[in-house]
Amino acid sequence: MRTPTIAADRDGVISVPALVRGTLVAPPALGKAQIAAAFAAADDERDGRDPHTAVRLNGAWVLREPVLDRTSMRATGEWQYQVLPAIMPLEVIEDDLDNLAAGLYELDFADVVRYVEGLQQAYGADAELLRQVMDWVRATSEAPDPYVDAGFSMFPVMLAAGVAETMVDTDLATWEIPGRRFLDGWVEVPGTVYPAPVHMIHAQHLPPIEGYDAADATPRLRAMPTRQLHITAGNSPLVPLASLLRALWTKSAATIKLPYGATLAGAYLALLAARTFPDHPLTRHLSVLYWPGGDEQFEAPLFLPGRYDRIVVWGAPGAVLSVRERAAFTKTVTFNPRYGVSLIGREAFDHLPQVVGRAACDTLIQSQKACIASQIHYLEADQDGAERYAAALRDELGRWDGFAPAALSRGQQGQIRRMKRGSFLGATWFENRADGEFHSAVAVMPQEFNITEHPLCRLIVVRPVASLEHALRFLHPGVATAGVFPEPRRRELAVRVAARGVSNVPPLGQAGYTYPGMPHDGMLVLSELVDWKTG
Amino acid sequence: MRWAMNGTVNEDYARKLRFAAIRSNHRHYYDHIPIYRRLAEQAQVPADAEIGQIAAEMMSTDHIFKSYPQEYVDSRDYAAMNRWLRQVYDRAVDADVEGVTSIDDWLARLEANAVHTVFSSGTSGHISFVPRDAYTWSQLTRLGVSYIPLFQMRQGAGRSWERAAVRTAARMLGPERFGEFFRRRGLRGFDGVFLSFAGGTQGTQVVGQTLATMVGRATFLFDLDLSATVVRALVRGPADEREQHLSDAFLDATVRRRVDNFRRVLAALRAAISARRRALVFGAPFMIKEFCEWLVTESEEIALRPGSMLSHGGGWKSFEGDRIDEPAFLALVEQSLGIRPERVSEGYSMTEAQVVFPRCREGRFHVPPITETVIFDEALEPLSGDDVYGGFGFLDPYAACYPGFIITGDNVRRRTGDCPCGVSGVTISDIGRATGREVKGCGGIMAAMQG
Repeated sequence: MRTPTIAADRDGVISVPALVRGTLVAPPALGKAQIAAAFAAADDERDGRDPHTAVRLNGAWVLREPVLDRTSMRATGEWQYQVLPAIMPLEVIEDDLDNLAAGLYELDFADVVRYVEGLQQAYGADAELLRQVMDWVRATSEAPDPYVDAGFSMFPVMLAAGVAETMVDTDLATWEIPGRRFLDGWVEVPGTVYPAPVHMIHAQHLPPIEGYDAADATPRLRAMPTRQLHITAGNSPLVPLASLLRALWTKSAATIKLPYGATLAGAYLALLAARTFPDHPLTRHLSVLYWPGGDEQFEAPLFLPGRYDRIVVWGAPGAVLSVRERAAFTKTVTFNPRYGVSLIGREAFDHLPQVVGRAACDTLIQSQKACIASQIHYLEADQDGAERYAAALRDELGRWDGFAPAALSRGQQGQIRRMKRGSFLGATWFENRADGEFHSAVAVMPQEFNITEHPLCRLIVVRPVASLEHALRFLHPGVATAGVFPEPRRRELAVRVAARGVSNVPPLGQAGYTYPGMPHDGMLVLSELVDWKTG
Repeated sequence: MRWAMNGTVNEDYARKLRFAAIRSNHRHYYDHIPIYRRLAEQAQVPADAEIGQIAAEMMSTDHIFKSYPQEYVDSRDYAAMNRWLRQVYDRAVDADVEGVTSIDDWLARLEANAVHTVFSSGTSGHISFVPRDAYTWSQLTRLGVSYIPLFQMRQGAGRSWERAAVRTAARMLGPERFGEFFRRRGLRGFDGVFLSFAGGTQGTQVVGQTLATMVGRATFLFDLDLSATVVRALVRGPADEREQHLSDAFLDATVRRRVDNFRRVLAALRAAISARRRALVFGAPFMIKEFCEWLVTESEEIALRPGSMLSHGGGWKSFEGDRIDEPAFLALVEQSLGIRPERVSEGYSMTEAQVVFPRCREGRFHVPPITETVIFDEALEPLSGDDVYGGFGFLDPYAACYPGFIITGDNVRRRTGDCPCGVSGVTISDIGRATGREVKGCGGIMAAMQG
């Protein structure tokens, strides 16, 4: 029997296996005509509402993604179909805790390092398969090609041994002891143990317990792996990788939900794991699969108390809220929907090209889809100054449109039109258009607006403010990152910005920087994913 | 009126009138409403634009009616609010704001200055204000009377002699005089119970208050004004002790005295039964459901006099989680109030509209021929066809003093042709909130009131 792989049939229908606790499961073979008929029937039922993105067919989930012309980034009218096996929820649940305790949880962290190193070496070994996967991802990705390529080039970087070691040693460090020691076993820590009042009462009223010295107590800690359910978002192909790595680094059993729009990269990693280390405990306790987000039938059994120790959710407000409500008894780690801003002092006008270039970099992180991407530039300027800045920024966006044109869905086009005819009717627009089509824009907005209206696509809102201090009132925990210019102003404002809930206050232009050991959304995430035990 | 009475209309003629009115309004808005002029200049649409261009380029979202900076209200700068309101109104707003410290005060000053301003709160507490002059206000409160009773009677409402009498009156009097006749006589034989507020210019409440002037005796569930100041304070938090006090008083009168209020309107309904008078019950569906469920729970079900009616509007809004399907709703109404399903009616409208779309027994909302509808695809481009689904927009010829070419936040299915109920024309159904749009209207307000 052939090992399942990611492959397309002669009609271009892509078969994507799932990894179910170490076993690759191939989807059934489905013909393009059969798939097209299923989608047509499903769409008919919707009476013109948004077309379905997924249908269930013969024990499989079939995903349908629009193929985009990579030059214009507009839909060609063609579809890319991916067929993924529909797995039963109980198949991914790890309920043999003794098996986990004796196997996976007792692995040495060094084994984890060897594992990720092995994946790193195997990455791209099958160059033809990797090329194919990248081509398929490029065909439908809303991220421009340079972003897709850059994303894939990050995979081997993130799989490096050094990254694993630094992440674990910093995120799980305490008492100045490197994190890997806590992951590998019980660690005595130099804490002073205080007896409980009950011992003092005992000592006052009863003789010492024979053969037992109540003062002989040693504090010990261990970072216990967990069973993790990761519900990932489709705003970046790196999100499933980040989730997968966090599970591996913490020696944890994991179920990774692949998101619509980023299934192939995650499936490629799962394939890599199954091929490279088929019998490794990390592989045997790993599941990587697709199901439609919010599917009650699939998710309800997963959210029952005791099924997982951690649920990690990335995504839109509704998705995060929905999981929190339904998984009320399981510790949930959420990467809430957030956004970035830029705080730009009036000094910018002395260095306008530099500032505009740096601000654009902060905005175009993951083509403006990342939760740290700057969507609003608060600029210390009057209306004229703001318009001067906006014009320069529009030109900079135009340059990016040239080498990395953004996909603007019809829904996003409609949203921009809505804004121009409603909440942003008072704004001054600086647009890049070609052949009558909108490509990108900067809007100078004289008043506050609702950020949820922002289409997160090649639109920058410039808000003129009398001083950066005035912009502080717009900062809150929903703002992930605030890049500041110039540096003296950043140093002056950093604590006040952070006090308002903002996680990152880097110099302008560095909002996208990352390094091993960097907190995410104000958390040392690995520390949230393990269970800290005392013994 | 003829359409509502006969179920059909000369669509070519109606379209001609409609288009002429819309073009005339466009010209008027262009010349007199600053925000509309700005949109026209932005879209490079001239004053003499054709209908197609107006529909494609000049419809705006309802957001323009809340496009004022919140800091104006926060800082109680009602002179600035006057200046903002001028942007969406066709004339100067000269209301004296000296000493005005709250939205309610401001609305009262506007009212004194003949600017009748309807408000609507979304779930964010950012309140919309739609200004109306005396003429537009009179149309808002009178227009529906000229066709809704006839439409409902065509659907089977009323006694057979009443239907005949009303049809005769309509034929003889013409729309305006018929409306006047119906306002004075049409509902006098009913006692009205309004599961809404006795005062305040929030959209659905205005409908209730208007109906209340037409019935024999009116009882409101909440015998107080729905205050815009309180609505904002409930969502955004009271700004000072006065607002805290107002909010407390409001919650006390509504939430904490809920059962007292229910008992009071139940007494009014019992009185109607004793007096052998028919009752008209009006409210938002979630409030009707709550009242009916309370009647059932308390074993206080009643049987109103035959011919009694229930009318609801405003939808479920923030109470979507409490929604029950239509058959269950009708069954609950019949069980608790004794009102037969064919005597339950519903209207669909919004704060920015002058017209109400009545629902037929087939579950479709009928668009009167005076209103032009536009359905938008996700890219906000108008769709054509006799059966299309998308974002709902309308051009309201009776919106004379504010921009009445509105893109709503609702998605609907629009069908054109003969409805199985026997009325022809445009219908909408399958109404749902478009993704990401804020829940507006009474539902948003009432959600904030839930203890």
